[in-house]
Amino acid sequence: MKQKDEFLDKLLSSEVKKAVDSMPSPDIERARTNIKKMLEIHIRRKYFAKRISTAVIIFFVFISGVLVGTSNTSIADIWFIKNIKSMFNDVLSIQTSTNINQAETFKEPETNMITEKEFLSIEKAETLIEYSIALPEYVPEEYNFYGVHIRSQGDNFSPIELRYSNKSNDYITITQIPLDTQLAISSNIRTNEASIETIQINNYEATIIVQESVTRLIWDDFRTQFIVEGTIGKEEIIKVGVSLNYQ
Amino acid sequence: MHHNIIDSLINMHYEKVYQVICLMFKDKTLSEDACQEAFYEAIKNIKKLNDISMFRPWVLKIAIRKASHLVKKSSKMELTDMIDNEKDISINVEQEALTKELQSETQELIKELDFPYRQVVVLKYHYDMQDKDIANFLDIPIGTVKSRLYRAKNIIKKKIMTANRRQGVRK
Repeated sequence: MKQKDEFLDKLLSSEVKKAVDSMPSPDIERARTNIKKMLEIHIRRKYFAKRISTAVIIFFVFISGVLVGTSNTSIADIWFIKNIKSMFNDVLSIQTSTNINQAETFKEPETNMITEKEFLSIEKAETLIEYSIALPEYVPEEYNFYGVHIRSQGDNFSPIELRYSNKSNDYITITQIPLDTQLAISSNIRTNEASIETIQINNYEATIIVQESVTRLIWDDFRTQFIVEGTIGKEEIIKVGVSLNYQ
Repeated sequence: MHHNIIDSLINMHYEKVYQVICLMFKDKTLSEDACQEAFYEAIKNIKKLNDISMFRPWVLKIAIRKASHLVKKSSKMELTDMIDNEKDISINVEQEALTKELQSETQELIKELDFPYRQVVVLKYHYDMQDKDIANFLDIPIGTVKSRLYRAKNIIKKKIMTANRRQGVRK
């Protein structure tokens, strides 16, 4: 019985192979052409789909940009446009470009050393810079004068920082940037994370920004940009700003 | 993919795969369509194949699937798992067995087997595949493979014996 099975297996093994071989040969050339054609169509489709999707993305971004820029209200409710708009609209950009005709531009020497800010007395600072420092007539009671820091020592028109501190080491900083210096100041603040208000400081338009516990007041009088900053309330910051005595 | 690689894959495997499909499905046009589609699909997805020596079994598997799909689609052939056990095998054999030699007769008997039997017989004896590999290849239980092979062999055995008997009577 086993022998019969083995014989049948051998017979089938050889006969199936022969049966396969006896099958008609295919037209390989035609098959090759067809397969290559199908592959080419596939590649072309893939490439086309890629290009189309790129074009759609570019078009969508372009349209979004245009719509955000032109504030088209008819599509303002579309989720994507809304988000794009809020992304751009929620950013407050404060930019100041200063005089570029300044002959000499001071560059801070590059160094890898981290140095602590050096604070000087008003008198000493005034000998190092060629403009008068505006001093506040009002600072909250608990704050005392700490010092003046000259950002770029050796530059006669360097921005300075006036610092006042209290016992808990909270600071009020008054930064003064002469607009005669070759400088470009740009600061972007996300408005959804901060409260922003426009007020008048001594007849100049100023922006007051309250972000977390820090209040910042920014304005300029075309000669100097002022930034008053501290962990005190809005009213107190305005009082400090208004009281700045400068010529 | 480089055209030379496509050419060599087609040169090396197309004819054999086509012939196996042709034997299994007994339809030239269908086999041609299935093979072309299978080669296209296999070459398109060749990156998924880790071992290039497995290209032929892979493309054959795709071709079988494609051919079965085409059959179902066109309803040209009925590829059913229902096998008529009661089929009278002696009627066809009667005349043929008297005129054919055992070997060529066996080839004909293989071709005459019902599709499910023919499929497992071709895979088993042409590729010397193990039962579990055939099961895996055709996505059917191993028990089904074993029973189909057993029945296929029995049918062939019976036909050969009947043919031999008639040849003996004739002589």
